[in-house]
Amino acid sequence: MRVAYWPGCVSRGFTPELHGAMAKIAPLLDLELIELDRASCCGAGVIEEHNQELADTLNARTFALAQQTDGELMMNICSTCQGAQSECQERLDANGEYRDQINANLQDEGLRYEKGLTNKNLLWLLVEGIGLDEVRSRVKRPLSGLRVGPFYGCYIVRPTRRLGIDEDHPRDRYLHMLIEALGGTVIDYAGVYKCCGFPIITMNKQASLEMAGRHLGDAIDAEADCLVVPCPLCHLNLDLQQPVAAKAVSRELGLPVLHLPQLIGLALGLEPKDLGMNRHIVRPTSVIDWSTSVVGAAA
Amino acid sequence: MPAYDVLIIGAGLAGQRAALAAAQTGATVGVVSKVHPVRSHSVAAAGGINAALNPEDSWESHAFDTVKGSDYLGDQDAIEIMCREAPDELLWLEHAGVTFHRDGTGHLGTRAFGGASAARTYYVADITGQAILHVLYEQLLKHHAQLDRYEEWFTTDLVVGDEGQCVGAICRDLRDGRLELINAKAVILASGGAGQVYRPTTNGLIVTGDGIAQACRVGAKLMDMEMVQYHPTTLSGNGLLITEGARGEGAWLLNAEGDRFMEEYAPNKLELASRDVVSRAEQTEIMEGRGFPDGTVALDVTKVPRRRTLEALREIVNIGRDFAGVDITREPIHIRPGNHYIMGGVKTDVDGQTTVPGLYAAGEVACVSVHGGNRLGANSLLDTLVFGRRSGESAARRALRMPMPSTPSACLTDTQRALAAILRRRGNGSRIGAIKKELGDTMNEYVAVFRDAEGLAKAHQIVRRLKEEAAGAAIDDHGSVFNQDVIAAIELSYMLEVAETIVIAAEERKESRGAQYRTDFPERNDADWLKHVDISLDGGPEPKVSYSPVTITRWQPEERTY
Amino acid sequence: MPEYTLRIRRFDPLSGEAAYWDEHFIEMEEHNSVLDGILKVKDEKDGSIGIRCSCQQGICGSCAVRINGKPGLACNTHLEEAAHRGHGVGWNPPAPDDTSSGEGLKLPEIMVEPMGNMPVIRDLIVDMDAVHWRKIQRVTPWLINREPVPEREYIVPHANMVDVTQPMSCIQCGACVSDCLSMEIDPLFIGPAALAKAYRFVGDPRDAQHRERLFDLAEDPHGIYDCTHCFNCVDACPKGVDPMNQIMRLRRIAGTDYDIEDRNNGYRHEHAFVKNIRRNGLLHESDLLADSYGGKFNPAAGRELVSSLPTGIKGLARRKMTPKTALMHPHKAPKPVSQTFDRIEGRDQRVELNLYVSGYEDDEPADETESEERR
Repeated sequence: MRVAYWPGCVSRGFTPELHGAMAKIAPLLDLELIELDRASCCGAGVIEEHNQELADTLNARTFALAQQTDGELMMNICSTCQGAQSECQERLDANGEYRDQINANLQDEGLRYEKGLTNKNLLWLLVEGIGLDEVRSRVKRPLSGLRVGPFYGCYIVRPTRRLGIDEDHPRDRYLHMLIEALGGTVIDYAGVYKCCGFPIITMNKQASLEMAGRHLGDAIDAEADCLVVPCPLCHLNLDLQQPVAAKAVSRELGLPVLHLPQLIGLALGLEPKDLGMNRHIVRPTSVIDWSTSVVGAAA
Repeated sequence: MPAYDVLIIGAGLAGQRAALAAAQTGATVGVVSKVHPVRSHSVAAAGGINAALNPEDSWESHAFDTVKGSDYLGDQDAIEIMCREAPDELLWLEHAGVTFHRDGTGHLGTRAFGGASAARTYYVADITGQAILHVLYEQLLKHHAQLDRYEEWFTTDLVVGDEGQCVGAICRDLRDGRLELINAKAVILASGGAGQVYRPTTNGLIVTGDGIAQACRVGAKLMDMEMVQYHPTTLSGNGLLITEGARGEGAWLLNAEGDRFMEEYAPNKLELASRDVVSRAEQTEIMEGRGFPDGTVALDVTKVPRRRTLEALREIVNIGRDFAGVDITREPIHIRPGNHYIMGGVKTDVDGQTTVPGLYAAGEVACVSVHGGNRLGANSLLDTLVFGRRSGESAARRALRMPMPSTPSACLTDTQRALAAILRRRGNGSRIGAIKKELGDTMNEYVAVFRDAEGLAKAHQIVRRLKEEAAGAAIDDHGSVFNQDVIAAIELSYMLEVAETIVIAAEERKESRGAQYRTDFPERNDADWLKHVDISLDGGPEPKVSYSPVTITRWQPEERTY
Repeated sequence: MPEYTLRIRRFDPLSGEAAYWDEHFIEMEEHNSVLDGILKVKDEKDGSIGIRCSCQQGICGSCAVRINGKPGLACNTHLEEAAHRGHGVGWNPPAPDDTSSGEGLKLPEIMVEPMGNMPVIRDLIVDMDAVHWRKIQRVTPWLINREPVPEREYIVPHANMVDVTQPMSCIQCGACVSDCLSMEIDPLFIGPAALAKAYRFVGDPRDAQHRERLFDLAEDPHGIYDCTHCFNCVDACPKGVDPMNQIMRLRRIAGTDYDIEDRNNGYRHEHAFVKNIRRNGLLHESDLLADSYGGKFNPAAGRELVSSLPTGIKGLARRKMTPKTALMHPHKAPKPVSQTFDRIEGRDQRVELNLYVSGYEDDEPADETESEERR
């Protein structure tokens, strides 16, 4: 499947291992990625908060670039991009007059956004496009015995209606379903649908870190080996900031946090190091231990 | 013991407006409400508020429509006051912050409403009551220094002094069950109507006739109690209200054969005839077999441009979707007449003074009477605000001239004893819910759109029996924190007393006028019945009937057609 | 008629007992509401169940509770819909301790709990005064009239009144407060309902103190910049008030129209972010961090960088930030992107689309085709 691929900013900035891991797993899933390298930041809700037209124009531009490719749809690997872009797209698709107005901003570049783009996070694409049976059939090293806590992040589960979550598309269960399809064990804990705290890290650092710390702590109490996140911004607060978050909640943490493509990569037979897990702040000891034990058992 | 110049019971539109007016007049004010003020049922008023504010419109025209709507039972002095003061009241609200709909030029815009000869209904989408109620509460918060709020305090009794005047009330703090005697120079009842006497009703569960019964118990006269309005468009089953605004915006009424039947009953005003007329027409269609099998006719909102519906009738779009599974912008919705409002209530003068000194009443609990036999849509919000304000001002003026009256020593212990007796009851009597259900069904069957002597007698008998049963109804909750069971028992006694006065008044009026349609006396009879039916306990245990004249200023009764 | 298991969270503060689940089986229509179910039990079996309720039509705002983990009104949540919530749509609560009958088919389960973030008084009744109403009072919740007050009405654009009718349609039920994730961590956060109320005045042209209101809310460490953008309030709201969107609009007006530089870094963060994208096209995080605290040479930035030192050093050690990415700009914004910034930010008036006012155009053609088909 060929898809117009929007990696987002953070996957090429602070969490380059995410972009790398995606590149590694794509061929294993027969995904051809047409990278949108001229596109710009989705605004992460911040540009929208500053100026709605600006955010909508930047994203309309990204959508238009995606529509110029021959990809079946547009794919992202960042919940925040998914959420911020869905919000802009909702407005663009809702009102033709407004869409024309925004498209006028793109005219000089010869771009135009046509209503009705499909933009899916990797997670959605896996379940709805590739299919979990197909994913399952490609698993080389089932994640048996690995206890994984899903951490969705806000932007990919709310608001329910805008994100098209309904009985036919239980997108708020997809991480659960995927972990199971990959052979892992889903850990239930209080933080599954909560906020990592990243959006207020520069405004209310204490609260932000307490959020991260509390969810990590809850997952540890539920005996998770690791968390998996479809959002690199969550990863920043849950992994990069984890040592400080530990101080904020006054307890020891040390829970590895995996990007979604990293977890998939593990099941598809790739090694933690190949997937860039050595770049994480929290050493993924439990995951490495698990992978060696599985290899050991196989040998 | 807390003491105020003016104590207000109930914090819907009338109560809050009275509180603000009394405070502004310089009185100390306490406001007691059994629910948080913004939960008051005024919040559900949807369509709008009438005022002849446009230069092309006139208060006289508004007043005439109201008189005609009342089937000439409304007191014309009171109606004149209400309609004259409407524009100023509306502007006061606008300045206080109500987000009234604007027209293309940025001025206040109007919609058409039933029984009105001009489009003079001002509105906020279809949440007008909510918007006004919340803005009044904002004002209450703004004036917090002059007002004490007793939120979630239930009034059990009014307290009467040695000279028969009202000197305060006994209230229970729902949070901890504490009883408090609140002393006052004047008490304003603003505790709403009695819709829960009927089942189904558009009214909330809290609308249990408390004030009407409380006033009656201390000897105040009630008036026009037989005049109970059935709203033409309520959902079958749960009785939820579909605002008259829908017809104001252009929706049609259709019978099962697809005929726009209002052409027969009101060829000029059609769907926008007054409510009693439309409800009777619908009920006739249903009884004569032209309704749907579920005992309804249809309201077709698809006649209104969809975009307009989505903007101006948002709430009923939600109600249709959530409570009937119908997208009203795409298909007709089944509706029927349902209990909505009581025109009658505690008899007052134009300043809210009841027949008991020191006791005032305003809003649906009161009967001034501006609505007479039938209230026009969007006149009730106006009534609450104009007479709420007037009551507040006049109660405050009275209070500022007198010392704090003393309260009888035994009253608090009497109430304590009565409550303790309820709390001692166990689970062996009839259930409160069952009694309430039988009462509601009875009233809806025999004291509804069409009435006759036989049915009314039956209803009377049942109500009397239920009163006896209610005295020993089961109580499951014996605690003090938010004991809703004991409150329900007291409310049930209020409802039964109100129901009885409604039945007695309906039996008494042997003619058809406004909401009272007697199939055994199908004509209006001005010679014998152009008068109010008053009811009071008059010292005894049984309600007694008397009459008072209708005030006519400039509009002599005429035949009423729409 | 379908059957349901209704599990109600009970708590009596005077009993000395902990809260517990009270289980009832009910047989009711699918489209009956959760409140109908509770009232049926209350009427027929147990009058001591505490729940506030009145209008039964989603307008009085009394009966907000958590149903299968999701906050909302008991009166406009259908039993069937509520039962489904446990099976994949919306929030999914952890499975309750299994104490049910054990034999035969397990009925669809509806768990009703009091709202969160507020103390429980009894059963499903929470103390809204202690939290919700206190916060409402915090935002000066009344109109401060623009002078002179006109003799007749204020002349204001139609769209403006529709716009503020959105926050005005808030019924103060508290559902958004219940699940606010910022408030869960920072109880002092003013919160979604009160901030939506604040927008109701800031968006109202008749109000005289927009700047003062915004300044106050921006400066408060628990004000507009304390919202973590989790969308819980948007999903929770039964009336489409979209509180988070109102908070974002408050930020936009404070930061862009009034240039209010707050002490919480809200303004600087927003402007640093925008500047960053204008320059780089993509987000360049290390610049952003420094700029958010007032630029690389601002003492606050120094303090902040020192306090996050362990993170920074580890980041470098693990090659998250290479010296190259920390110092240089690896990516430049394509020219059209920076031109877009110039053009749009240079406008006299911001262009904004509020879907609450405009509606969805989708509705119209669908309407026509459908009625076409019907004919």
